[in-house]
Amino acid sequence: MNIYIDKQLCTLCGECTKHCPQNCICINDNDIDITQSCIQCGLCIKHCVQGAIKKTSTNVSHALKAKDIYIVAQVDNGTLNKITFELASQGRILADKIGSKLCVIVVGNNICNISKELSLYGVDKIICIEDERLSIYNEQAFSIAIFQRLSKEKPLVLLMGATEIGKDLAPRLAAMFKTGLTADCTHLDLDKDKLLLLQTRPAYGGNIMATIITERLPQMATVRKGVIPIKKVSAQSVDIELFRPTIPPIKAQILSYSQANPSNNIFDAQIIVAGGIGMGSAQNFKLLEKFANAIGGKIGASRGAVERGYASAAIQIGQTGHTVSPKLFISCGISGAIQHIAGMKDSNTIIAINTDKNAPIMNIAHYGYVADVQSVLPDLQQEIQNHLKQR
Amino acid sequence: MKIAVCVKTVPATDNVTFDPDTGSMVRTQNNLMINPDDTTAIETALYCAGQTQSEVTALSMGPSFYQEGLRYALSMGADKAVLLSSKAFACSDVLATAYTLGSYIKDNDFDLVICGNHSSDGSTGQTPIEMAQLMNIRHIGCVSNILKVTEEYLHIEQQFENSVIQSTISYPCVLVPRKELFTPRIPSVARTIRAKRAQIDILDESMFDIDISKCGLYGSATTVTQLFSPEPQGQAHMINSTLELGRIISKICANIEEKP
Repeated sequence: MNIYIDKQLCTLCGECTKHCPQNCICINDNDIDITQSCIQCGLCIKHCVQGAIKKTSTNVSHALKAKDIYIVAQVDNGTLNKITFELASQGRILADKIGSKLCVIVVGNNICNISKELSLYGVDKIICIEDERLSIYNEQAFSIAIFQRLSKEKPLVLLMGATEIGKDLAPRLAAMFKTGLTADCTHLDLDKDKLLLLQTRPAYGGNIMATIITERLPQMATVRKGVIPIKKVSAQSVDIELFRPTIPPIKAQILSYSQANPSNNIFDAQIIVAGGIGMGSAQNFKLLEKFANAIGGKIGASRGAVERGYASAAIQIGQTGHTVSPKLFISCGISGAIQHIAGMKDSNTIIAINTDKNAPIMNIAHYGYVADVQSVLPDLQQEIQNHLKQR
Repeated sequence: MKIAVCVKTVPATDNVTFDPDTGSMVRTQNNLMINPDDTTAIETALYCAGQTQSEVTALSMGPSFYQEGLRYALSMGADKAVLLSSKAFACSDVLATAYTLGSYIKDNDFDLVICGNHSSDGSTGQTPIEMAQLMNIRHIGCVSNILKVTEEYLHIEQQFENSVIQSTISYPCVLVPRKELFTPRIPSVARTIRAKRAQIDILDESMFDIDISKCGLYGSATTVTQLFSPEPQGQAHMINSTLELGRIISKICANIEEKP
């Protein structure tokens, strides 16, 4: 929040505009402005010939203002979502660094029992926020309930999962606290002296990483699924608090609630087979889906394949679709635009089948196979079946 | 009923390359375009407007010449376009942007506000939700189906990773549709030409009720401290036959089965 142009010194030469990765320095009618898409990266400062672009020095320190690390658990259909354990493992590392406590907030109805499992993941305190009206997710009820409990003692750090529910709830809380929120972090660290949370996230579809700090409290971030290894500890005694919030009446009526059809669900899939334009047709996509099923995986698609009508938008992977990180990702006929790569590059193993050995996907894949996926698929399926029979 | 649809003008960055020395984006063209997800939001707004005989206002924020998104909204069928533009709004982060857009919406008593899922440049997906909270109204995210639209309420379905919720919601509220909710229409040539010439209202802080201490630079809560290139991953290990590929896939699948 601190880059500005000294218009006395500026010659409107336009050098800065060439270097701005956000393209947010605009020269128009003898005037120059930095637009709101500025991410304060400072590249313009480096390149300004006149030294006309300046940064007001930030000397933010959260030391002495707050201490504890909080995470918000995600409860899905009566069980804790895996992201909760990832957040706990990350939270433990941060808390140990500054010698503070790790508190986890579990929201729902009758959730005290399931939350006990968290004692195996190094948390110091479990806060169960319970109310009948919290049995089904409602953004207003959930945010009010959490805010009520946390406004008493502002957390230093508040982490949530970058899942669909986490990303629906976190911005409401951030706006309630009037604080910042960094989306989809892949790395977190704490500055020991100033207690600043260094939040790193991919920007521009993962081509560049940005580290962001928050000048207010709590320092909030959503953390991407599958980037933090889960670490179990031996069971320890944990302080459990039951909090009953006062939730005002909410102008909504829930008519039905159901668990999502897991057959369509690619979020938790361990194996994903994704097709792109190289699949050639919707019919071939059906074959690919059969192949995915045969190896116990789910099917995904690139934007190109969705736009050509080969596959449904519900399974699109990439910046404008889903972000996934399965154990195995098999990419079939996808060249790998940065927007697509952003949605799958954290997969454990990536195998790419593509006719072009120079396609960008080959730069992030662990294994590459140069071939036309349409002609390879039948043989490959046969080959895998043979292997499966042998076992 | 008054419907607003928020749109963002973004750099057209499909073929981006980066200068390895400076880490900055190399631009061969300075094209601007509408944020792709916002077209679904516009289609949703037009659908709701059709059901209730309402007017659709497209709303955006940015420098005065960032009009591409609004013009596209007009070409798809929005009735009016409003651009919030001022030096006071420059360098806003999510919080300040949400406050600025929300202030205009509140000041103009919109009943229904529809926003795209996320932007192709910032890509946080947070602004519509923070905006709803700052206006103290509900938001409905991940909308997968609109079952009914009336002057009084909406009957909608939300689909999250592991759950599907159907509910009714009264106005005012913010809707964030899933990308697959509607297939956006392709504007006709005639409409596109008309939209190019259409009037766009450009408003600054003096033209609606807003506290500029909560806008722009000073209203923002976050700072980017560092930009760096991710560690380059090496070239893929090349496989030479379908046989070998089958063997590797089988092996990995077997490992996953054993150690989930």
